[in-house]
Amino acid sequence: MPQTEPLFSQLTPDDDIVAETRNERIGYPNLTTLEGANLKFKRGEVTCIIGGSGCGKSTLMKALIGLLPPLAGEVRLLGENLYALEEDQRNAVLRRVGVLFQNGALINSLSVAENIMLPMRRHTQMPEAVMLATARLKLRQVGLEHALHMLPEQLSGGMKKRAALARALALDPEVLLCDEPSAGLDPLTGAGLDRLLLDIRRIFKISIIVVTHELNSIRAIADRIVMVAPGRLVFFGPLAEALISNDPDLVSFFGRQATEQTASNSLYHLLTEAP
Amino acid sequence: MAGDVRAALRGAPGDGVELRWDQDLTRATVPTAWRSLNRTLRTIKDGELHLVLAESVQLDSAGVGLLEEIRNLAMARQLHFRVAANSPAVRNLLSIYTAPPDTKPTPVRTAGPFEQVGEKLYAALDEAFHFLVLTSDTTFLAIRGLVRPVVPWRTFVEQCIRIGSQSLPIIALISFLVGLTTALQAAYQLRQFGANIYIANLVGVAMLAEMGPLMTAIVMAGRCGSSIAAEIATMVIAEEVDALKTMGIPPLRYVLLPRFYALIFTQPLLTVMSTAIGILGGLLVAVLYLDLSVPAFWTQLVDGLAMRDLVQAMLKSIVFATIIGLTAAHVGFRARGGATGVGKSTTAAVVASIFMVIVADAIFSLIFYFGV
Repeated sequence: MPQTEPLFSQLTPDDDIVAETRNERIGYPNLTTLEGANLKFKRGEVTCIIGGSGCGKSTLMKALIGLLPPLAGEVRLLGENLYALEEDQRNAVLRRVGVLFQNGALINSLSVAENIMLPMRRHTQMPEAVMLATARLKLRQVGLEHALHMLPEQLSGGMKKRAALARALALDPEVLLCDEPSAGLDPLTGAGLDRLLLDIRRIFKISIIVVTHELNSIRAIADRIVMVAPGRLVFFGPLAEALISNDPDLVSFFGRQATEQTASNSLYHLLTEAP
Repeated sequence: MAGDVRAALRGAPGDGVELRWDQDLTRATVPTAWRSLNRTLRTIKDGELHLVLAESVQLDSAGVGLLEEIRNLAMARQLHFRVAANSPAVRNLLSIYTAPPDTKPTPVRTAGPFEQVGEKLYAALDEAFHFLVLTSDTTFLAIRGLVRPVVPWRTFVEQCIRIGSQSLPIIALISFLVGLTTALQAAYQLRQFGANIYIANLVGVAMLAEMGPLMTAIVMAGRCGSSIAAEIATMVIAEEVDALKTMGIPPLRYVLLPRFYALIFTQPLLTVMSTAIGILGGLLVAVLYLDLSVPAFWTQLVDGLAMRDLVQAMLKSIVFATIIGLTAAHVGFRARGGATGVGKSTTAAVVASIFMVIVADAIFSLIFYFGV
C-alpha cells in the first residue's frame, strides 16, 4: 500500500519556507534578468511577483519550477535543489507543485477532463470513475463543469486559463505558481479567481506564488511582494510595506501621487524639457 | 491494507444503513476505499446510506471525488447518500466544493439522417465555394502582380531558393531511379525483339511527357505543399491572419503570393531537370545492359521527341504547381483548433494535392492523346 502523505502540512519552523533563491542570477547566457536575489517564499503565504513587462517575472517563475537553471546561485523548491536531483526525485518534488502557465498550456488533443486527469494518472492509482469525479469537482470549483468533455480549442482564453488552474490543483499541491492568472479575465471572474485562491490557501495552507500586474488582485490576495526590474530586484517584503514605500518604481506601479524624483524621470517630463 | 475497512453497519436493510468510517480518504487510500464502499453500496436495496466520517479521518480532493462518485452511483439507484463529518478540517474542505446544480442538462438533439446528409452536402459546397473564391482571388492577384509588382524581388528570390533549389537533390534522386527502373523494365522486352534502340524513345517520351512532371509534382506536394499549409494554418490559429486583415493587408497577398510565384516559376525548371536526369538513368541502362553507344542513343532520342511533348510537360508543370499552391492555401486557411489543426491541415494538403495532381494528369492525357 502506498505511503499516506500528510494532508495538511505541519507548520514547523524548519520547513516553513517552500521556495527560496540564494544569491541567484537568472536569465539566459547573453541576458541576465535578475541578479543577486535572496528570496524566501513562506508556507501559507501568497506572494505576488510584480514588475513591468519583459523584466523577468516569468523567467523568475521558470527558474523556481525547474525549467531554467540559474546562471549562478541556488534555487530551492520544497527544500530541494531541483537542478541537482535525479529525475525520479525531481518528479516526486514536482508532484507537490501546481503550475498555471500564462496561456493555460492545456494539451490540445485531450479533452478538458483528460487534461485534469493527466497528473492523477501519472502519480496515483485512483480508479477511473473517481478521477473523473475529482476532475468534475475541480472544474466546478472554477465554474467550468459544463466544459468537462470539451476540447481546449472549443474554450475561450479565460476558460482555458480556468481549466488550466483546475489541472494545476488536481493533486492538491503544496505550492501553486500562477503566471498571470487573471489576465484576460473579466473583473467578476478575476475576483472569483482571487477568492478561490484565498480559499485554497486557507484550507490547504498552501503557498501561492503569483506573477501578475493586476492591481486589484494584488491588493486582494498578496501577503508579500517581489518587485523586479530589468536585471535587479527592486523590493521584497510585505504588501503593507510595499504600499507605503517611497521607492519610485513601487510608487509608480501602485499609481500613487508621483514624487519629485519620479516626475523628473518620467517620459512626459523629458519631452517637455527637450529643446 | 486492502479490504481492511473497519466499518460498522447499523440498522436493518430496507430503512437505510449507517456506515462509520475511520480510514483516511486520500489519494493513496482511495483505491481500497472505493472497492469497499462500492461493495457496501451494492448490499443496500433501498433507503439511505449514511456515511459518518470519524474525527481522525483525513480527506483530500481525491477523497471528495470518491464521495461525489459514490453519491452519483447512489442516485442512479434511487438511494439517498449523506455524509456527516465532525472534523473542522474535513468540513472546511467540503465547503470549498459546491454542490452540483440541480438543473437537468438540456438534452442535445441529434440530427436525423436527412439533416446529416444535408449538413455534409452543405459543408462540401461551402468547401468548394471557398476554393473557388481563393482560386479566383489568387489568379487575379497573381496576374495583377505581374503588371504592378507587389512581392519584393528579394522575397521572391528567397522563396525560389527555399521552394525550388532546396528540392533539387531529392527530385534528382527520385527521377534518376524512375528513369533507370523504367529502362530496366523495358530493356528485357525490347531485347527479345532486337529493338534495343527504341529504349531511347521509350525513356525519353515517358520521362518528358509523364514521369518528369508527375514525380516533380508529387515531391513538391510533399515538400512544399505541406510546409505552405502548415505555415498558413499556424498563422490562422495564432490569429496572425486576422491581424493582417485588420491592418488592411490581404493575407493572400502577404502570405501566399510570394510562395505561389516561386512555385510556378521553379516547378517547370525542376521538371526539365527531373526529365534530363531520368533520361540519364535510361542512358545508363542502354549503355551498360543493351550495349548501345551514347551517340546512337542521343540521335534516337532527339528523333523520337517532339516539341509537343515539351510543351505538354511545361503546361503540366505549371498547372500542377498551381494546384499544389492553391490546395495548400485552401487547407491552411480553413484550419481550426490548435496544434492538432495544423497537423490535420498539413496531412490534408499533401493528400488532396497529390490526388488532384493525378486527376489533372489523367485529364491532360485525355486531351493530348484523344483530343477530347
